[in-house]
Amino acid sequence: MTPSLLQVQRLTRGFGGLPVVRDLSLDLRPGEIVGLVGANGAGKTTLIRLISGELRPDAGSVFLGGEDLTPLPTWARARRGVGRSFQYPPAVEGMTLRDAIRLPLERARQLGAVSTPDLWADAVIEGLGIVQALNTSMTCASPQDLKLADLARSLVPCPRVLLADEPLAALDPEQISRVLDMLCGVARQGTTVLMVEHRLEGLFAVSTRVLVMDQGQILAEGTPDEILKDPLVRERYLGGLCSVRAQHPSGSDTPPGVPG
Amino acid sequence: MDRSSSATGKTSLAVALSLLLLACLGLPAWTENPYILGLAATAFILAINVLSWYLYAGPSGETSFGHSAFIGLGAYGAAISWKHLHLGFLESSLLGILVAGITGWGIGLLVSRLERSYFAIATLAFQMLVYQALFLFPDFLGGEEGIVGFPGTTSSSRFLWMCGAMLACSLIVCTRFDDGRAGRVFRFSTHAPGLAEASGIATNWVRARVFAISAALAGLGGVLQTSYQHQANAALAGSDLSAIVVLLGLAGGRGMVWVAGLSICYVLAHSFVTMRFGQYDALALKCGLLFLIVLQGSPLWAAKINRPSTADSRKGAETGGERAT
Amino acid sequence: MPGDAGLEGLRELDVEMLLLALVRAIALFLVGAGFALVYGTGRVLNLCHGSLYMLGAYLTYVLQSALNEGRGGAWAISLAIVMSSVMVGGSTWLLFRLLAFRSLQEFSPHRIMALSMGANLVLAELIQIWFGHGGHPVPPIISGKTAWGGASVSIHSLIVVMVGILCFAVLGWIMNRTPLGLRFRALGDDHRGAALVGIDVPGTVALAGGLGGALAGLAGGLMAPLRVLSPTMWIGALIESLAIVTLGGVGSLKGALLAASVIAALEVGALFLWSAEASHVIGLLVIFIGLMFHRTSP
Repeated sequence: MTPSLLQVQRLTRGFGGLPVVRDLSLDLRPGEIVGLVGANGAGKTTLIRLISGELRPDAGSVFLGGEDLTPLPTWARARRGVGRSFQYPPAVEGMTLRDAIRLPLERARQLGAVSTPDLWADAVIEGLGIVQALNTSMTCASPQDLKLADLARSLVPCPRVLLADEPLAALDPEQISRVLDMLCGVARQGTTVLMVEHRLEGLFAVSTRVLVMDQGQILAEGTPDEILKDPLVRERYLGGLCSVRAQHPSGSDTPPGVPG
Repeated sequence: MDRSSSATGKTSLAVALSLLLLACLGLPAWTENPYILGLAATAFILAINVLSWYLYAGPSGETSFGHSAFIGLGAYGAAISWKHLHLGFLESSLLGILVAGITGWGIGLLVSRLERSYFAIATLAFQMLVYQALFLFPDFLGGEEGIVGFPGTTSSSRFLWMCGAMLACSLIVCTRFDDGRAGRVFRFSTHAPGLAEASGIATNWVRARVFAISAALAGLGGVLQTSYQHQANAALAGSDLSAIVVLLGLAGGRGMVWVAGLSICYVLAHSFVTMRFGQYDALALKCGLLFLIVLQGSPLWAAKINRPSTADSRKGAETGGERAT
Repeated sequence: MPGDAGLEGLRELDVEMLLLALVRAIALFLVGAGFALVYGTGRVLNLCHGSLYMLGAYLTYVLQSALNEGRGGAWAISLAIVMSSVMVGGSTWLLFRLLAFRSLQEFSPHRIMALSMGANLVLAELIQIWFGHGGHPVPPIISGKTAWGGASVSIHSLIVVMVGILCFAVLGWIMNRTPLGLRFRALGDDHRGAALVGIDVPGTVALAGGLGGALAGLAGGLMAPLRVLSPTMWIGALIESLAIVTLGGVGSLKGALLAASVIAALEVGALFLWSAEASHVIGLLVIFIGLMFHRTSP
């Protein structure tokens, strides 16, 4: 059994007396893609923010490779390999998509997580299909390009753990395919992906494991097939949706190889 | 960075530096009148002051109302070193700049994390505190009169060259910062701190660093002003100067070069208006600046404090507001 | 006996300090509440609030000189104070309405801050040109002193306190029991939400501005007989407004009153323990230290 890379122990967080994440624990192993699903308000984004460091927990801790991340601010965690992509990436005036993607490049060079960061950045950009849009300013770029650029930015420093917050939202099928290929690729290279998603087809196609959150706790855990068959999950989250095809959008059952 | 805006940026810098060189060489050749040469020098000094403010405020959109505190700290730092530590002109000046810079770094850490309005208030309060503090310990700080006798050059043209050279350096430093990686990191740190932090950037340290450089440059302005008037007085840290800096920075808010240019024009206009209208000089100019700012802010002009590319200004006019939330 | 005289003296000093603090607190409250109202409703940091206070004071001086040929008298001065308050409030309301009309809401907050700061300078210059520095005494509403709690206090100070308490009550009534107050509070929460519910946002903001201005003008007029008028009066008033907002928040009148009391107490304490300069610094320290504890993120 491979040792866990990211450990969340009994994490608790509430807002104004309302508990949003309750006594939650989970283990992520290197190279696995873990899907995180649940109804809106279940606490998924809050959990992501607790792991990334944006929020401080009321109780509990986060460990990365045995190191306690809990007292560290977001940027320190990022430097230790916790990557994050945003559901709604902000647009900064006067900056292009290239500027955003290259933002962590300097740090990546220093950290040495990848031997040739520039080549890797180019590979990611090409893999996600945003080469044409690089010189667009962030405020003028389409929401899809902005999203893809943000994902590229989060992948440039080759993080050990990638916290992806709804990476497929608002994308068209071709773009979804690219993103899923990319995620599989980086997982193969050893990055652990924790992916919050509502687009279940895509999620189930690439995840090795799926966690279902409900009211701040893990309701169920298992492979995509197990989750689909779980009656409690069906009742609480899937809403009787039985016809979700756990299949890669390109038609094959296994995702294709590393791009670039 | 947008190719076109970088090119125009480089051109305008080149033009500005050439004009500066022309002024420095041409003015002393044209006249030996120390008043005119001194006026040009004070114009350059104000340009440095405003430029140093704009270094932080331009990319971030955060207005500091306390900039004159650092001008005063630089001035008094140099004057105290000269008078009480008996250091030479160069050493005192450097120490003054250092004092301003280090204080700027400390204050920057404390204050730069605040939301925009509170940042403005906090810097305003800091400036007023510094101003009040300068009247304490009259034996040490000189009270109302300040510290008198700080050395300067006897030659007006040499002083003009020094100020011109300092302005040129400041312009180069500021434009290179704005166009370069440091400027980009700073922009992300202030406009999208979540994004920056997720990319491993320690935004509070970045902001403090830029604030420190801004303060140090202001200190340079303070030192030069002290050298010019052979005196460091509390007015250098006063609200008037602070407000003028903000007004000029906002009115000229199309780029580093514009800001410097407007400041120089302001000083020349001030002198002209004083000669013609006497006591209404300050009033007329302040009204003029306010009008300029109002004009700039109207939807017709659609100017923002950041230097926008043409595409951005169109988008900006649609969405309004300065920051992505 | 000598001991008794000493004790009497101390008690007198205490009462004097208390009354001074009380008057100061009321003045601070009036100025600060106006500022908080404008900032809370309009999200506009109107940095020329201090100048409105200054204008109130100078207008009172001008009006009372005109009325009754400067002979003073309770009615003349009271009328002057009320009129100047109305004028200041009215012009502020008009200004806000003009700004809204020109849809300058697209103005970023810092442009507004810079403009209002610039307005301070312009107004200070104008006042300096017209009035020069200092020396424009305004007679009190009712001159003379009275004994109160063992110390002698000017009757005008007592009037100020009474007016202040009345204003607190009236403002409380407006905020909590009238539709206007409801609109103010709605805007304090969320502008867009308020607009969606059908509230006239620019109009309400203008009214808030006018009311805030009127309060500042009233404070200026009331305090004019107790202070020396000077073109730099706006600085102190601005600092005090900011201190009250920092300490007491923008949401509640009680908060403003509490903040005003605390700051007044600290200022008077500093005045008696150290010097006048020290009491000026208190407000600044309150702002700076208060902001250091300001929450920025959840």
